[in-house]
Amino acid sequence: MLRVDSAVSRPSAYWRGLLTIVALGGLTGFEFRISGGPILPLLLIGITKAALILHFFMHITRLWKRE
Amino acid sequence: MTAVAGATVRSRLGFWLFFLSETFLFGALLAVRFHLWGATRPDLDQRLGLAVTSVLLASSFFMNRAEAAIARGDRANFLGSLVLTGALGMAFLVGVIGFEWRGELRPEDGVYGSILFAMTGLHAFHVLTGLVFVGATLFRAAGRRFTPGDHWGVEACAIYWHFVDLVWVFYYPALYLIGTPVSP
Repeated sequence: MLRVDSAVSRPSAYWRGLLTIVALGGLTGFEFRISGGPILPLLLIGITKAALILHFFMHITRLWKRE
Repeated sequence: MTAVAGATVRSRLGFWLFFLSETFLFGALLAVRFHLWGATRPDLDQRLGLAVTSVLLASSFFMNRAEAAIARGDRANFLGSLVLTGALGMAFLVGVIGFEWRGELRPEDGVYGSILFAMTGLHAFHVLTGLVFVGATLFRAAGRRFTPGDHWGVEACAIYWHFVDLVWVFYYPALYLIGTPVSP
């Protein structure tokens, strides 16, 4: 049977998820520390976190990658 | 491409289009926040904000783990991770509804109260529907409906959950971090 979801079936998927959450946690801690400051750094952190979630958790590239 | 794979591709595209429409909904409230609050924000409990954010991020990790596990046929890990996702989602709701909403700020307290409750309320409702989705996925998983080769239901549940997390990535700084705290 065709594996519909081969991208997450590799053994490294667990590790990728762990590294992603560590990065997200670190960025969240950093934005907490700089709260009340200029908006731009907080916006950039938000965009970076969103990109990490879109790519590594939501797997947005599956939309245009052939299964 | 098999029938299962073809159906998954079409379902996935439809689901992402749904998220695109949801983005307009959440984005509108975000725009209202910046228009009416400007460079200020209500003086909210910072530790509570960080705590609920951490809990939601952790839930996303376990949801990702659940999806990776079913793709590998690791059923025990899949079920365990899904249950943990649901538990953390409930903890998030308890933090927002049980603690944040019981603070000094009320929905009728001008622009600060109304926007805070509108943003957290809309988001909390999506977390709640996400929990229903997780419960339905668990129910179907108990009937062994998912296989490593056919688990679109799990993927859909995971994408929905991560989208809720994605929204909070922008709502959290907008509500808790950006601007000078004021007491309404």
